[in-house]
Amino acid sequence: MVNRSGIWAYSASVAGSRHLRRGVERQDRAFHRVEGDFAIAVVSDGAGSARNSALGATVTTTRATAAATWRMLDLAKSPTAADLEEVLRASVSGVRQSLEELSRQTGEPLQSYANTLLLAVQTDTLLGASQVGDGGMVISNDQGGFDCLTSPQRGEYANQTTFITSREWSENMDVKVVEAQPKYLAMFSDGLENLVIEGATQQPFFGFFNNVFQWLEGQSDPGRVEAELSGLLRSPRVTSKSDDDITLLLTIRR
Amino acid sequence: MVEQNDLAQASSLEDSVIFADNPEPRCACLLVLDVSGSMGFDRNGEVPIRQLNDGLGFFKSCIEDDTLASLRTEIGVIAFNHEASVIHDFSTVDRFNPPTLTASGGTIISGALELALDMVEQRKQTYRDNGITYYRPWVWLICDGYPEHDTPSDWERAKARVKEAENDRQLAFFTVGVEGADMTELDSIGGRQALKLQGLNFREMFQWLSSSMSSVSQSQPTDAVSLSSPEGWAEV
Repeated sequence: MVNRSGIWAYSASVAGSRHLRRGVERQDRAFHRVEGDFAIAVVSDGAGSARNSALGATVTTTRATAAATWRMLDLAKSPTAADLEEVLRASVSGVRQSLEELSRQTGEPLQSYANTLLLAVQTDTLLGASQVGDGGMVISNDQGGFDCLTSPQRGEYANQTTFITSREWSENMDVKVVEAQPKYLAMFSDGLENLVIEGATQQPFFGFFNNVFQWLEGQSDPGRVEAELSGLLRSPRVTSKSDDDITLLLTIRR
Repeated sequence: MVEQNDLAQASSLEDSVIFADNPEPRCACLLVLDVSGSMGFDRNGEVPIRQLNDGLGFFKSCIEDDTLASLRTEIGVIAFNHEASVIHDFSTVDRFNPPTLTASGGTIISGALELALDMVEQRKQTYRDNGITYYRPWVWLICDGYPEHDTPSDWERAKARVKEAENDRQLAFFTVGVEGADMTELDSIGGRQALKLQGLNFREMFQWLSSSMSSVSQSQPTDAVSLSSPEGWAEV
């Protein structure tokens, strides 16, 4: 399918040093798809303490992408904000149902697949986003700065969050649709959160996002972009601050 | 009184500098250590308090081996016999000076429990005041006796407070009994079964604790604290 949206997506996901030390597989996943005039991007972080969370995160990213794609294709006309919100809600519900089905089939507890979800759908006029759990989404604004798009869900403690498998997932889901076509969108798992969001103000670190997107402007080869992103996420600059899996997904309108 | 206020302000200023310098999320680990006279008794040629002191130094070095745990773990120490006092305020491992404890006196556990709960709550407030995120604090009681000189009402009240704090997920409370401890009494504190230390394997226990601190940051789908087996230092 021709990319009519003008949106390009790139992602990198690397295992955290804690996982590597213990021989545990990476539990973060990222998936993106540009389909005609819309683009879908998903990031999921499997809970470190849940034994099937890597599979859970795979189901979440693939199912959310498929569900959102089909629902977008089903729309007869350009979606309104209400249409897009419905696409997001239904897609996330679809993910939850798939995980429940998987749990029934395998006899494994639903919680063993615990993972978070960040889903973004962009059209030529709208940006829709939904979030269950931690991690974050940052967009560029018209003033040359960056804003957080959704809010991570947190309990009192830093490792406490809502998962798509949690009982209270739907009450805690953050859904937002904005009439905007931000040039840049970044989505990241909580492994990167402390490095790119300022703790006290909860604002994006301008320097990080500005540098990354300025660099991305000059790139054209997707393979090279993703290799360089992986290199960044594996660099001591990042790993000295985070021992968790790290995923970064970027989109740019060219 | 004036001096106390000055101290509180000085401490708060120091905290804000420390947190600005190292904004990593924190995991407070409070050690509540029995230093009653019996901890100084010889047991087959080994003295518990000496092994405990050795273990504290070893704990520091284990945490130091993990860069992130060094930035995130804050160790605090309360020592108690018939009195309880804060021997070391919460600090990251670079500023943790393992104390050399000496054994004397009787045993009152309830005062130490009350002090521990207050100290943890105060630390969490300090984190919040400084915009620092944190993990659920751990309180680690190590005792070789029983509530010898506690009044029954103090003992019951302190245990009820620990249980309530556990139920409200304010902290995770662990109890370790050293040879000679009344395990039934220790079991009645908090909701978790007390662990019996194998011999005087304090080093193995602290190594395990350090490794548990390193993995505390993994996301939890439930409120349960997941722990690896304490095999090697506890009688399981």
